Amino acid sequence: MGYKVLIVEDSTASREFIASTIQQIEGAEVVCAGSGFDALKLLPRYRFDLIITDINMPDINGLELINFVKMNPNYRETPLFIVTGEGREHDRERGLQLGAAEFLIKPLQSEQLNELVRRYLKVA
Amino acid sequence: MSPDRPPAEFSSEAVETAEALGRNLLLLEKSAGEPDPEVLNSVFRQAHSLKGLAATFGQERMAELAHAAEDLLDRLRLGKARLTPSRLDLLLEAVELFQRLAETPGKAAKEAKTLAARLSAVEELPERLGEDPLDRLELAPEMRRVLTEFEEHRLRETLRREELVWAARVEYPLESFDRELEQLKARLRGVGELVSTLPGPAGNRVDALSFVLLIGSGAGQAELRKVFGGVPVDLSAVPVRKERPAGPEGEAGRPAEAAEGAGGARTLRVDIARLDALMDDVGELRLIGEAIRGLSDARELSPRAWTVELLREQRRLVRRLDILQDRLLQARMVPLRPLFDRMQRLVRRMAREAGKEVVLETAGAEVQIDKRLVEELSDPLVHLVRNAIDHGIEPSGLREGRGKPRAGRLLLSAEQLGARVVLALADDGAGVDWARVREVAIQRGLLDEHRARAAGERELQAVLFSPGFSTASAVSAMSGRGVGLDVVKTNIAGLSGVIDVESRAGEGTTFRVTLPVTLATVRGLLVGVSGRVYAVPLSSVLDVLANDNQQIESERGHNVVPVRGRSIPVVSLAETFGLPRKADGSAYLVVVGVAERRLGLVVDALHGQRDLVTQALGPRLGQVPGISGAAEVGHHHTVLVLDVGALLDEVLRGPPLLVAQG
Repeated sequence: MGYKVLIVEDSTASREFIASTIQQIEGAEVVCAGSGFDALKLLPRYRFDLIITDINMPDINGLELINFVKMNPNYRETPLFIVTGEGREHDRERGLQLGAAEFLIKPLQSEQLNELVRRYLKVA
Repeated sequence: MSPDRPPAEFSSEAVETAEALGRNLLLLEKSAGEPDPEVLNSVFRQAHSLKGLAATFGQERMAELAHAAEDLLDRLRLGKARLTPSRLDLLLEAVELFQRLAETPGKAAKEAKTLAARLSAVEELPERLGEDPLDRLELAPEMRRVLTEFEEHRLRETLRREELVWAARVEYPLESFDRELEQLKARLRGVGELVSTLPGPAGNRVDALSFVLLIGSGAGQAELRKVFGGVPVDLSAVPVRKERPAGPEGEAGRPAEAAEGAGGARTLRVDIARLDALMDDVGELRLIGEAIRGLSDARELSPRAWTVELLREQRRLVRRLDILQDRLLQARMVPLRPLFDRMQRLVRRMAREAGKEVVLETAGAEVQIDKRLVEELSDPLVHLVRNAIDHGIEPSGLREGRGKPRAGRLLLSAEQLGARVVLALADDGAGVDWARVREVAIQRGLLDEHRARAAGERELQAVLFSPGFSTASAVSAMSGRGVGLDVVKTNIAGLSGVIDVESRAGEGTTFRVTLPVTLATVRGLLVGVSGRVYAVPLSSVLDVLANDNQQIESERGHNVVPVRGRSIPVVSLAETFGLPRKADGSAYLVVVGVAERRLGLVVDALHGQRDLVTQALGPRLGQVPGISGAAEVGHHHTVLVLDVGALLDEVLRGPPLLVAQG
């Protein structure tokens, strides 16, 4: 059985780094969104097992995306990580309040991310 | 050559991001006034991406520099520091270094370190103290909790600008909502700012999404609705709780604030300390009332002493009423700043629409005028600004060819001169081609050929504002300066103001609007003319002199008299209004002026000053040349109030009106 992970991030390099880290996990498949709007379009098309999103994006912000996910009964249970370059207390607090599972600050360590993703995907 | 040359995918994205960042910085440089928050935020995001990118690929130098740039940009976008030209230079320097570091990281390491230190050394603005205006915004908690710090800052700025936050609920199809929202954003430009976009489900539909948009705007509901282009939208202003009353101490001097944006609600927020002062005045008036009642019982007083007492109380009463009136007038005053700010945004939008580069500078935004005047001024001012951008300021290429800076310059300024405020809008564009105005005036029969040939600039100016001229479609040939100017003039006249224009071909045009500070009452000088009484608004009276007919000379078709070293035209009001002349009349010369223009009015007598509440003449009388309205002066006597601006126009352009004789 496979896992699907949605990565929402407007920086190409960052997106690819996260994608390549997750693709190392057996059975994990990655779907990338370059913006919050793209994510809104992708959400109804697949059943995701994990969502990883940036906060500061040009169309909708990561908090708005989390809110959207958590309000929808179809996605509500999907664990969600915030990955951001800003270690902003404001965003961290609000993100966790809205129901994000983890708040990660860039630069990410490949092993650490790998381990966290495994834990939430319940991969042995 | 550095052994650890970065991977190609890093270099290419870093260079691309840095280039985009540089382009946005240049956009910021061009925008006049407050930097566009959206551009500033995307520059911040780009620096932020660069930092993440560099950190991910272990490029420490670049990560450090990008971090310093991001940090500064963060403060700029959150209003904690101001964007100055030198800071912009620093950021542009960083862009250059980013590009070099992306190619050969070893080379610019030292420079990167120094620049990062300089970026970090930028001073912050002192933190704003006091209550958070956002706490007064009655935003639903589920909306507030998804706002980022930046979005909260933008909402605060909206409230500080005295604009409203609107919540708009719309639904869009899933496959096209992104395009719809992009278009909406584009149409919002110059009208408002899309601060937040909160997506949600559209009921049970899977093929659509609903959005709550938070929009900061000074526009009214109807104007905002238009932006949605027919899509059903549930639009409402987010209520703002009243400000907590400020303590009375030290607050008395603060001006009242316009309660709403340019939408123009008929309400006004007044500082509580001002209301307290008004209450004090009322208390004083009650005391005077008591004193007068006491006098009615004072049988022990002689009639003479009784009269003296009564007159003393009457003087106290009048003094206190004067103070009361002054305070009430003050309470109506608001600063021009919101209007100027609105023009700033408008100029940006109009310039973009016209494909021109225009910078608007403002001066005197702190000048205060009557709230109603601010509202009524908006339309004429928009018209003048549009004219200047569309027809006055030349395209950049043409400007360069003429040896002017690429960007056109508009200067909007206000200055209070006594009881008047002079608003000026100056552009450095093509200016009015007076020769062409002369030709058009002849063609349209506004001036006969002989008059037109002899006409000076003043006379031609009057032509520019006349209805026959402004409807002409051919006016674009003379920079379009005539379009709709008659309407502007009528609007301004409705505010008891006057407008004039000064222009040099090739150098630019300046429109000057002179207004009374307030509309509520006008202090007038009552003058006698052939047994009748007229009022001259005191705000335009510059001098009152004894008239000496011997001094009146004829000069270029006008009767002039030397006043303080300057030759000014004179008219006799008796002749102007077709009244019989009194044998012993023409005793005084009342010198009036508006902006730079002067005129002497010959009158028979002076009857002192009075506060006048001017009313327009009824429809039966309609417009009488030279009269702006009527005012009651007690005992049911009504006097006509002179329209000084119109008299000036008439005299300075028309044929010699009269010859003043002894």
